[in-house]
Amino acid sequence: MIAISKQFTRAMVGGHGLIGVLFGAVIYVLCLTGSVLTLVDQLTIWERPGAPEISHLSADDIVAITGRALAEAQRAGVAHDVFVHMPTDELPRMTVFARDGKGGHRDWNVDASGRLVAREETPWVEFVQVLHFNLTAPGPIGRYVVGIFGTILMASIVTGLLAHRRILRDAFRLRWGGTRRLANADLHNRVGVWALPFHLIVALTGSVLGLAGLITIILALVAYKGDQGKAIAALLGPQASEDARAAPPPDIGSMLSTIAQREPGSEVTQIAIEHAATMGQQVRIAIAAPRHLARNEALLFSPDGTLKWRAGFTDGTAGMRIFGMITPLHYGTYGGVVLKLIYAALGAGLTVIVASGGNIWLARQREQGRPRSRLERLWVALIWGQPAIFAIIAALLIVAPIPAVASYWALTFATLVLALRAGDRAPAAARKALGAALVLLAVTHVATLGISDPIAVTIDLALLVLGVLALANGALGRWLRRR
Amino acid sequence: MSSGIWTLLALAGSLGGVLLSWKAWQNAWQDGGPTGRARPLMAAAGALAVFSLALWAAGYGAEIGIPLALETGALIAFGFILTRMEVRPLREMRARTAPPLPARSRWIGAARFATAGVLGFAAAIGLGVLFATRAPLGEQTRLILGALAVPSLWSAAIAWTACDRRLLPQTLVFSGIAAVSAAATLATSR
Repeated sequence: MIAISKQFTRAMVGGHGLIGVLFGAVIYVLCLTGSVLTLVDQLTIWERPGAPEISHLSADDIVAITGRALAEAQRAGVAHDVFVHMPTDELPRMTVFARDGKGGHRDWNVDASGRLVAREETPWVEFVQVLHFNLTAPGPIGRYVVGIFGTILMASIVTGLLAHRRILRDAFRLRWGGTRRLANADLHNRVGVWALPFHLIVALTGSVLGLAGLITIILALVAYKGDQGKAIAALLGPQASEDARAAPPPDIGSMLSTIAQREPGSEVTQIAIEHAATMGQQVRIAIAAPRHLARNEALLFSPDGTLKWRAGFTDGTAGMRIFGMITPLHYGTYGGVVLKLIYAALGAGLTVIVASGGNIWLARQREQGRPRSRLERLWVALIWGQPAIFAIIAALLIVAPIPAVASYWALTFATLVLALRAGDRAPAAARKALGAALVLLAVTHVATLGISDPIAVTIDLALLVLGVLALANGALGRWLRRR
Repeated sequence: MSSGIWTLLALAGSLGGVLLSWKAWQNAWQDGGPTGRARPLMAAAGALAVFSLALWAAGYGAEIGIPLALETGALIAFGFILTRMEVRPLREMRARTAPPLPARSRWIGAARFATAGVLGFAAAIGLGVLFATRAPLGEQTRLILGALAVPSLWSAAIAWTACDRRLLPQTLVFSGIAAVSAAATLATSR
């Protein structure tokens, strides 16, 4: 057996702690939002249970709706690129998104009769997405920063694993109670070790997704003489040309016929008309690939319906197959609702690891006679305060169109200040605040939007149970110890 | 066979693997190490884990089945550990006071940050780009593996810099890798 020196372990523990102290807060927010977003389809239904639904589309329906989408986008002056997202089993809603190429965009829902209607906005889901994808920073910078934090998370996972001397001896041991450090350390280590492959996969794919733009720019500079389009085309196929002369709409019907011949029985999941209704236009169609991790295959057509390119996410080169797997592996979109629930649970586990990691560091400081009281309160405010803030913003957005991002930063600042003022009462107050916020959210949702969709009802019940558990946290602990 | 039956069998396999691992773990630590009674149990647990993985792959295809096996296995194991949680009475720590640690130089902190963040990234991107442009593989495979290598190598650089109190070895290694990989990329691209 390989003997690991104590000096090595000490160095790893030191490095692991240093990474956690410096970056733990942001990593916690990313893990929390990521766990929430694994259920994005269900939360979309929950946020707007009354949005129009549509199911089972024939090829003729798709052709007709896509034609209407293009015409509507042209009327609205946003027909540079038009994206038609088909309904799925998990989200039976069809949406159209169109952008003008200068930063403006519009979107619509499609009702059961195939007409485009004003989109039922989901501002809370979009806020959580903005926080997870960009940390609310504008432009690509936020995305790069998120990618950097994914890389730091990977470094933290590796140092945490190497710091663990008793990985086998403690493999099945979980103690709750005792000293604060021991209880947190057991939780941190057990979740960390048993779910290690998931944590590594999510951190690596998140890091690649965040840094992809930056890596492409550098790669384009070096390998493609600064031509970013060429670098992108190597993976995403030919790009639409800049010939802006007007042209008739693309022949979607012919493209769907080609797909039916080449890939019999396959379902279309998305149609994107790039540089729509110009001489430079092309159409990218995604089709479902159920037994593949990539979940989709992409085909690119000329406006007349000629197949130009096939991505090969399911049967292409090793590189393209790996490329196709990155996003589904990160978000857990390759196995239906059950897998999403597993992802949400494992994501929550990663969030608990980050939270307990901070608790361990703070408890160790206290044990060593150097308590960091202010930092302890701020950490408590972050751990319990962030989910409470998400719940408060969701409740407010149900009743009024508030600015979500500004509200988030204001509430985050307020919770940190309040925690510093609350003194030793901060932990109990923060847990109660979270419980109250979750109960308030469930009640507001039911009172305002009613009880209609079973998914929305399930989420409301889950919020209520979690809220009551957070409110009864102290009593629950006492009950467990009495047993 | 329907996917539901595959799933049930695979879940049973994962659970069996976890239970046998636990029995092996119990015996191993009673014996003072993974010897004696623990070995056959560990072998059986490993065999069940492989059997479960094969069932997931057979039911859902290898691409989806393998990650499903790992993820459900992790959840089952942790669920089992939760059922065996030892609840102890709360123990308050004794209040201690210790002299504050000597203040660390901010310059060293900044240098560590720069070494891990800038030089580590330069080395990682250097190697990633070299691989993406020069590896003897198809263009798309080179690009994707090169892109995946960048965060992996950078995280290794961050881990090393965070764990090692010295800074000179990392500075030399990262600068050297960045310079050599950039030179190799440029030299071979002419």
